Amino acid sequence: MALDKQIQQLAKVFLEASLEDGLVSASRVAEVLLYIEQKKPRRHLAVLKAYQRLISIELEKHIAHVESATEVSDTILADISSAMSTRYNRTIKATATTNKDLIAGLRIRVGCDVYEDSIAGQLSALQSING
Amino acid sequence: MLTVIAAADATSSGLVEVFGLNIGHIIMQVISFSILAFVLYRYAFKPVFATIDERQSKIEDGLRYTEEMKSKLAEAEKETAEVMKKASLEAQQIITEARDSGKALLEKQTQEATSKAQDILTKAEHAIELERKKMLADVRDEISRLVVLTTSRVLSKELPEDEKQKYAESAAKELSNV
Repeated sequence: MALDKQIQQLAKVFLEASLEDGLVSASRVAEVLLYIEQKKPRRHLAVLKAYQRLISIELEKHIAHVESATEVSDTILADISSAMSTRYNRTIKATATTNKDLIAGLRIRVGCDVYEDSIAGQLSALQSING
Repeated sequence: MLTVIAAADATSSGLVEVFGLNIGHIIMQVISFSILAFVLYRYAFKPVFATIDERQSKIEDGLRYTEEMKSKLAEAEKETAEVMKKASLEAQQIITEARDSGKALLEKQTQEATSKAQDILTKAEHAIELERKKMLADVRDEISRLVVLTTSRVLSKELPEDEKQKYAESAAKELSNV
């Protein structure tokens, strides 16, 4: 248990070293990986896994996954990026995917937070209210 | 008197002579009769009398015993009658108590049966009500599901692309302002 805690702490240190202006920097990540490869800290594979997980979480924090029933224009994506960046007080980039199941509307996911305004969501809410 | 005796003597003398009586024989007969009488009395009559007395005593004892038995029988009958009367009263009391107990038990069992029947009825009503609610909920769920499914399919097919685009723009604005 203590060893796992040390691994997590080391992964956090590596994560902080990978950030540049609050964002994950590819060059810094490369430096960190090189360092790990050369120094090979104790249980470096576990440290790498923990580091990868933290990097993924950190990257997800800066991405807004936008699902839409139709193609979303760049203007809308830019508006969403701006609104989410303001809300979370960090730079967030919106990426769009098509999901016909929504029928119409949008579903935005940032990290664990989900925002939805779609016909499918409203129908589901209606069904849950009646159920 | 003397004349009478003399006359009798004369007469007897005459008789003795007439009948040929012998004084000696008569005396011997008297003695023999006396001996016979004594022997008979001593060995025949006396035991017989003793036996008779004994029988008499036994009879008297028997009669007395009979009287006592009659008395005892009467007392016994009286006691029996009292015992029977007492037993009859006790039996009557027992019957009354048994009847009361039976009546009370019957009432208690009737009340318990009524209570159980009421409980069963209440549970059955409750179960029916639950089943009805469940059925209504199931029906409501199914109707909702069908309505939502139908609406989804209809909207997916019938909603024009420009409307979907407008909805997306509206949603983007709405979600940006949340």
